[in-house]
Amino acid sequence: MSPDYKKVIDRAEDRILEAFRSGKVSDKSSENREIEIMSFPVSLMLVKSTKLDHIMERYALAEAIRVEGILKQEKNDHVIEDIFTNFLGIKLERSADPRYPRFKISLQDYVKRAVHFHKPEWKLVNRLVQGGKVFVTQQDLIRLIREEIHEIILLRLGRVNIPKLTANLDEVVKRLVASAPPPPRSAYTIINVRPEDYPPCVRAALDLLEKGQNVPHFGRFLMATYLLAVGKTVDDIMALFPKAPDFKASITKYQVEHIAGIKGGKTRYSVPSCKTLQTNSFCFKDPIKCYEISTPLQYPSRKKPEDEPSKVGRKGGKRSENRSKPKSRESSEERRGWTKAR
Amino acid sequence: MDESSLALLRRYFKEYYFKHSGRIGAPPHMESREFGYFPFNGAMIRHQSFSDIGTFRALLVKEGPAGVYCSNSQYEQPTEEMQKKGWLRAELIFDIDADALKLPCKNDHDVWFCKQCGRKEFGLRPESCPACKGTRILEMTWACPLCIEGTKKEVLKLLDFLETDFGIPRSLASVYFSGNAGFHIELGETQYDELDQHVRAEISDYLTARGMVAGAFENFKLSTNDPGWRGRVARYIRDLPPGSKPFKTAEFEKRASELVNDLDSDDVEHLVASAVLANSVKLDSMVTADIHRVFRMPETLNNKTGLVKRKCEDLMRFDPFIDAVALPEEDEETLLSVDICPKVSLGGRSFGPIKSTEVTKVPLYLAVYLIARGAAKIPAKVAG
Repeated sequence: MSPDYKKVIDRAEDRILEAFRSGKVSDKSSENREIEIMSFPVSLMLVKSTKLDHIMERYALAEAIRVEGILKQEKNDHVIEDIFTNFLGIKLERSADPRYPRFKISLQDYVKRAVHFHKPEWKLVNRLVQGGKVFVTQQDLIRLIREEIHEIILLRLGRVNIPKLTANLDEVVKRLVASAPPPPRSAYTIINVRPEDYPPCVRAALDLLEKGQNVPHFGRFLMATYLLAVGKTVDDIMALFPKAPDFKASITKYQVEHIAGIKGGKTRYSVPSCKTLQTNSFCFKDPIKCYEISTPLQYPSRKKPEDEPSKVGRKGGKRSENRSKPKSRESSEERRGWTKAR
Repeated sequence: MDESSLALLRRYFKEYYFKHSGRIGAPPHMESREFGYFPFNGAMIRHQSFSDIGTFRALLVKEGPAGVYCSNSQYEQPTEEMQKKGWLRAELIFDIDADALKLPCKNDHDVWFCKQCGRKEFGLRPESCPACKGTRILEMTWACPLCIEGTKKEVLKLLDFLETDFGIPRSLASVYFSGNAGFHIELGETQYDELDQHVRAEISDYLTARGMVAGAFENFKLSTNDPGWRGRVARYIRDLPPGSKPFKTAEFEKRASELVNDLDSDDVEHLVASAVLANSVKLDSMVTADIHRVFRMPETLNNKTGLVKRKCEDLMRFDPFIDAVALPEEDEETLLSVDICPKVSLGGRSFGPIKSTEVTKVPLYLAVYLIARGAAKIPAKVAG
């Protein structure tokens, strides 16, 4: 093997190991530009050869973060604007008022991308919005580009055909698989969770049922999807219901079986995300144990908010108290005048 | 519901569709929409498709259904089951319901009923029945002119958001009385039609201010001309009367400086929270986010009232208790046994309140309204 070829393979392996270790790939263009460029497609091939989905995901993100880092050092703001126009087909506008962020992007282009971010500053409601446009800084735009690049790398990974690997490359792949981090908890994985470890939203639904009070439709949906996801059976879930004031066993059974994918459309419903729960007024967030989780299945949080300010909500976290009590959709769609207890 | 009361509703609905089905218009791209309806005492029939309005009207005349619906979504195959429909796009729809406003008048006209001991009273639903301590309590909500006024104010707030923040011309927003206790705001074709449910949820979160963090308002000095929520919060602070805590001054410029420099975070949060409460739109977020829903069609009857879902050409002048009566010309009167109901004004006639069962003669549309609300029935001797 030529020494240059070996350097390319070493750097390719190194890129992936960096992604495993720190979640980002460093930029070594200044050391050897050619090797830096050529090692990228080799990395893609190696990552694809591990056949591990979560490794592909992690690697794509780490490479995207690398590009983000490079763009952050870009002094010429036309470069970012040009990337949006030519690469993403999104025309940006300049904002006229120097007090506001420098660029404006169409609301739909903004939200389609920002909806995937969890930090509150990305929520539309925390943005300056005017006439169907959202004000964004250059830093915001770079962050949005990162998401695009992440997607593009994943797409490219999907298209890579794995060739028959030479023995030395096969060795590299084996080493990579051996040092790969474990997959994250997935939205469908069956895990055993003790009832005391159920997230606060699921507990809220169970508490209401326990007291014989009505659980809003969304709470029931959450409870059923969650309990199914942690390995409970339809019958286990049915056993929780008879205290509900409007309990009709046959209907409830059908609904739970529908959610489980046994009846109806045969689609198994996944546990709603924290974001969806918030929109449906059924989030009862625990500021510590719910820290940076995006689905109730990730509860309790593995991270601790150590560097969070003592008062959550200044720069992020706490929501303004504008939530109405969880409301059942059925209440306004009931066919008769008497509605159930809320 | 007993047979004779049900028969009266059926007859009224059938007569309405016989006389007025011509008022029901075809939605744009009719052939791509999902239609649905449900008969009295029957389940909803969904996943229907019609390519011409005449056929659809004929069905309504024949069936006289209790509820008639159409999707805001367009599909490749509207008659397929949901997963196979092939979603294309959906105009934005917002639903504002008086009940969600929790106005003080609810205390005067809402009724609760204990399933355990049968006690019925006016007022908000208690946690447990004061007589038997039972918790199985049902509630019956009513809408009064104050509810409608309050709901109209929410509609105006929404229309302002849509125009100034979302860039949707006022001419693209149609306001409909829902036929019960609220309004549907339906938009024509906009740049937002192809957005999925997650993005739509962000839009409704923006309007309801869900997920807002107060920190965004203290970074730099507020101006009443600021776009979006900042401007709304600024104008709220400007309009607070002199002496309003926590400000030391009545002048907006100074208040804005105090906000950035002097106020502690609790004060800022409190201020933003009250500004948000005053400015946010109390809409049903699920309706906006759900792209697989069917909506009651304009000029069809609401089975919960017998009133018409009707477009409000002049929202402030629209009086649903007069303008949405389905058959006001019907002068037939009928004997009715009214269980319990607050004061009701309908079609220019006042009725009630009734606190315990009373048999009385009322115009047909009022009988339909009270039966549909679940507050009355045809008395047994008439029925017999």
